[in-house]
Amino acid sequence: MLLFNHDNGRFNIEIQEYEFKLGRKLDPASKEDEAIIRKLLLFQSVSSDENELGDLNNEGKKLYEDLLLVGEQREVAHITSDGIVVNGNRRMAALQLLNKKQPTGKWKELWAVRLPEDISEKDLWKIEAGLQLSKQKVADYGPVHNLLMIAEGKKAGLSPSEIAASMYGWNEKKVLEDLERLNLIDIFLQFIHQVGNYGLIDKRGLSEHFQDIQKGLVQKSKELGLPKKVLMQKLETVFLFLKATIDKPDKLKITHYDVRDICKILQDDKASYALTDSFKEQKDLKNITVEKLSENLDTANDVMKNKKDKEKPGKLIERAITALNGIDRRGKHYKSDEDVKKKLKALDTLVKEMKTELGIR
Amino acid sequence: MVKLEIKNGDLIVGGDSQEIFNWQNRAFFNISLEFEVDAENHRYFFTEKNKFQDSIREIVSYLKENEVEFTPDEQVAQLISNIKQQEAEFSQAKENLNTIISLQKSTSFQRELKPYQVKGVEHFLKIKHGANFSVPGSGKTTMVYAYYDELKRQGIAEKIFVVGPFSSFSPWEEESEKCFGQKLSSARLVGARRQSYNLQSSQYELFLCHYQTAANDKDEIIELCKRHKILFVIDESHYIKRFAGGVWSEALLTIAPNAKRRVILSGTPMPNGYMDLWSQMTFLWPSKQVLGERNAYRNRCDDVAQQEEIKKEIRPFFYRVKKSDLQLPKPKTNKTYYDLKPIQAQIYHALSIRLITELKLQPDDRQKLKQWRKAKMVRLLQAASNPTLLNRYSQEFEIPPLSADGTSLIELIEKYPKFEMPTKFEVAIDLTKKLMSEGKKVLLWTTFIHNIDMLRERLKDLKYFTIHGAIPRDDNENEIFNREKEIREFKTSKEACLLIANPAACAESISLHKACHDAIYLDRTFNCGQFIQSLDRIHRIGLEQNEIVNYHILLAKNTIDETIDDRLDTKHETMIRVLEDEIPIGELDIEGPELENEDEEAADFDATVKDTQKFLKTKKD
Repeated sequence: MLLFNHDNGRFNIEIQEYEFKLGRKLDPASKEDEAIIRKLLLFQSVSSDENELGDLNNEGKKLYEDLLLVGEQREVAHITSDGIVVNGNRRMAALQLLNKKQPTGKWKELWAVRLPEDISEKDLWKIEAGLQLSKQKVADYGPVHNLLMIAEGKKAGLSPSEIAASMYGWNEKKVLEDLERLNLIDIFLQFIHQVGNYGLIDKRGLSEHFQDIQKGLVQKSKELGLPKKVLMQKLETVFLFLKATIDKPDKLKITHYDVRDICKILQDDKASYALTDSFKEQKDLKNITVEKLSENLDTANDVMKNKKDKEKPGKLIERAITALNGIDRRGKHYKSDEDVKKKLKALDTLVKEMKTELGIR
Repeated sequence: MVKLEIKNGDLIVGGDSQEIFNWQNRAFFNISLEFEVDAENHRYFFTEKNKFQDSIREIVSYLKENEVEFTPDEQVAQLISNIKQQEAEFSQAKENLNTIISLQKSTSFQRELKPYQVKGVEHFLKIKHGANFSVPGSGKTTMVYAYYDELKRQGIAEKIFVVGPFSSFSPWEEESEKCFGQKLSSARLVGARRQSYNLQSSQYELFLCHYQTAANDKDEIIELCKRHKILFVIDESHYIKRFAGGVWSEALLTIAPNAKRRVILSGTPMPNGYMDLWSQMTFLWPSKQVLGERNAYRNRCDDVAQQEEIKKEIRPFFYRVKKSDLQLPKPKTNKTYYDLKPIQAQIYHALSIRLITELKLQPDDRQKLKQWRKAKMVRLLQAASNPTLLNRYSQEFEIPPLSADGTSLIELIEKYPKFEMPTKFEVAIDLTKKLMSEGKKVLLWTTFIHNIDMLRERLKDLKYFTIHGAIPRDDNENEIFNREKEIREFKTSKEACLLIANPAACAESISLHKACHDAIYLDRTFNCGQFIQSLDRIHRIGLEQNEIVNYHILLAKNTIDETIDDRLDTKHETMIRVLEDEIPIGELDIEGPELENEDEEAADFDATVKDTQKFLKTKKD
């Protein structure tokens, strides 16, 4: 009997996400769990009815239709000597489904290459990588999948250059960068108490966000020779924004361009102060509201924008006037908010200083 | 409780608690410090041995700040203790800078120190790990030996280990005799025998090795430093100036913390600016107290406003004697101009025309252009010096012979030795004979090895010695005939004699001023650093005020010789500024092959073209 390859950490990120919600691992040897795995591989969700082919997900549908059209497997699967499917899990799921629908015996078998018993972990990885990350296939898998694949290669004992040699379009430097990025993702998942839930990153399309964190924060901090401890504080700030966009996507949508901006803000003293100073009041930064994050990000972006225009005082003053004119002076907040009065006083002092400097009476 | 240990060559941070793997710790260890995660065994580990000390410093500071208790194993405890000691030494050095420490009279040190040398030794004593950036010829070796003598007296050091160019080995040995009355027992760590020197280290007091050997034998040298109390010296320390990725500098930075005392010596520590100082100063202060972290320092160097600050920060940490402080008697320079012989003039003229007409055929590719320009300049240089050179492969510049294109020019060059001898040769030979007949020793410089061979042939009746790159370096390479032996015999000869040398092989670390006061330059190149170094061989500290040094420079009229002369004068002025600067930024381009610097080379080439056009016009008129 063949079993889905469940131990593979990268094997279908959606299964991992489901297990995270379930709070336990799925057991491919159990009939019930096998059915769940099959649904996760082929259907939109676990609650889908296997009889409803309209519920097939894109990949499931493509594979199912292809098998029907060709009438047989296009590619053989790979199994270990003890029957675990190393490559071809979705194919096996599709064949099982077809066998249910057309129990003629035609779809009963999975054509597979059985790997030798004494195959090393390194070789096993190379075979998998060769099959899944070949020139034709590499685009079919998501970016997080590729990162996990690389991490598995490392765990199997391959050096970065050996890993790169097995992956189309990679080199040693890129492998090292990918490993670092996966570490960042791991740390973030730990930050939000969702260890190992890579599906979340995939589903929310956050992969590029981590590329920007890596480039704009981690590598930049190293280039600038910033004290090692400082990087953690900066990471925490970016993580807060990512967490907010996961928790409340309707209130704060952080794109990877925003992440890029946040990283730039964190390298600038004044803008960084605007972004994070108010956080100091909080004992646990995770209690900072989405509204506060959003407000601070706007202010910090303004600081950056104004800095760019620092040689154009006329433009900046005009911008300030426009902003002040935007205040609804009949509104309740304007009249009752103590903060408004405090800020107006500060503005008054600043204007007086500037008038003195320019000799305006 | 966090455990810090070094096991099987890995630096390991582990603990019983899952707390060690909270996100902050993971970000710190895994991302900032680049440790690997071993979740199964609840630990982080790091394999880059040469960064252990830096990592431990960061970790200890981080754990203390976060009030996390930790226990180090013996090896980590030793590194922590080293770090503390380095920090304490740095604080003490800063305090000492404001105090007066006087050098005591020593019975074992025999050489009389000049006042500025006494100050140099006192600076070492105050600062403990010192930089001496004095100009060439100011007696840096002597100052180091005087410091070593004092360290020995105090029981701080018992051996001295010098890393430097091969040419510095002999001077370090010879100077030790002048300083202590007898030569220190020395071991040159060269070739296969170096392992046995290491094993019998207690028999030797002075160890000499090249930068590359230090990189190759890093672990053995660290062991040596652990076995003995060592004053570790890097001579010509600008050789380890590479900011990052330099094999020599990385190795020496790893060795550094193991030496009791450290010294760096260079007359030109910053050929390209402040960045060049990082590796050198960090060798002295491995905890990076002077210049900070590598990348942070690089960013400061890029910021013009920060450079003044850097200047102030580094100044107390090095001692410098400027050229003018040496108060040497002014040398006499006699430039003599000669006309080319008729056939030589014909050849030179033909090559000049070729240069001008081929200007529009200059290659676009940068490397090819560089090579093309170099070839053009070398051809003119060869023609002005000795046209026979044109017919040979130039080892000095890696330029092939002028191709046999069937023209009359080639035929002329091939047959040149049958027609005439270049005027310069005649003048150089006559002048050499004249000076030697007055009982003087003469140093004759030429760039080309073939010229050396020809001069040797013409002057075979005189007592002569020769030095160029193809001659074995020392006894290790050839016991009977080697450069060191030639220099030694030239210096000790009781009678008038001649040393024919090319600057590339004899420009650094050799003192001939006690033996010789006359140098003849048959030809020179655009390499000013090498030229200055060659001048300094006979014009350095130790000269009496009444000892006049004579430079006889032979110049072929209306040739590249005049261009070179102008360019060298201009470059020399710039370099004099470097030598006289309080903080010596700039280059005496002594390191690379001839004509290495691209901008310099372009300027030299432009000057050559301009002058050649002028000379051709003069001839036409």
